[in-house]
Amino acid sequence: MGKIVGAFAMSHVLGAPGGLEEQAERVFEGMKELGRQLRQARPTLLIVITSDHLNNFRLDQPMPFAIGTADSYTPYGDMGLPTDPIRGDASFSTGFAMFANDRGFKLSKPMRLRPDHGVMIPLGIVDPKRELPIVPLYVNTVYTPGPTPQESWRLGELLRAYIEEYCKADERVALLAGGGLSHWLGVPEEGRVNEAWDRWFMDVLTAGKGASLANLSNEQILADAGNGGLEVNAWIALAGAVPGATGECLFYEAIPAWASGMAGMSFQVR
Amino acid sequence: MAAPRGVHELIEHLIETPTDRGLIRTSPDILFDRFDVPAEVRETLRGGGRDDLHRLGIHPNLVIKWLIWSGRPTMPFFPIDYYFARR
Repeated sequence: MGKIVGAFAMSHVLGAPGGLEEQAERVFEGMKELGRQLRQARPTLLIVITSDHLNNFRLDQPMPFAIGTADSYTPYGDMGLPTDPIRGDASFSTGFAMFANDRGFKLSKPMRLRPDHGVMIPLGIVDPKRELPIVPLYVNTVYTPGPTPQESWRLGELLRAYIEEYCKADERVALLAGGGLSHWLGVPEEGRVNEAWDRWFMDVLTAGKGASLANLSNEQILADAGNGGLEVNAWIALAGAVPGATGECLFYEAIPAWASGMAGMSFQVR
Repeated sequence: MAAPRGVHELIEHLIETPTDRGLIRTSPDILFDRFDVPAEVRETLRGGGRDDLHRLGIHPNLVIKWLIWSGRPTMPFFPIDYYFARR
């Protein structure tokens, strides 16, 4: 049986530092600290739970939940991110997809996948030397209707069950959720950040009460945290994989110029 | 509200075919014709801002991409190496 040895969540974007260098640096240092803690857990596999930004998925072929099933990925390269290939783990991915689908959870397997910044910024920070194989697990909140908090939580439950029941005994799995927190993107409210909601959301997770977040509706999240804030469903999926785990906020900065509540958390896994 | 005919398909084509993105600035009508984009929304696509495109019903993520490729980004560019060189 495999083991979850680390669970972390962070915003999956960075922005222009001009005019807010100190705040940008606090975010960057927080992300690096998150990466240091993740590497300290000595994982053998990293699962990145995140949303794509329609760089790999089309609106007319909705895949609210999807998983990359390759042994290697060439990043999409948006935001000028490096496009050197990264290692995948086809065995884990295909096994988990079958496991989830057998239990009535539809997890799509796109034929081609070139991870965009939703994967590559978190990964680039936590594994700068690209030592870990990764599994990109998509909670694609760009769709309407999109993945619900309840479904996302269920995905996390299934992920934990698969790791515990089917992974090889020496597999040490780290989970990293990307996205959020509150942000409005490509809409008139762009630039708004709801710091109070962001801190409430993290307080719930810090207290180990992530299960209650599964009761949120996307309509509530959309109203309080914006269309980009729906990405917190990736965080809820992560919480579903480590139920009851308490957490720690490693950094938080409300940055309207980046149109984002920038946050990072680590969780105490058992 | 649904996006005007062809607009989502056009932007999705540009996601998959980066070499065609330059046409937005040089010859947008080639793209508009290819995807049968209605004449009445072409001016907004050529010069409209985020909120104009939003009013057309274009998906927010595609609004952002269109504005970036059109040279009208809503947020400033920065070199990712500002951060990544110091990881």
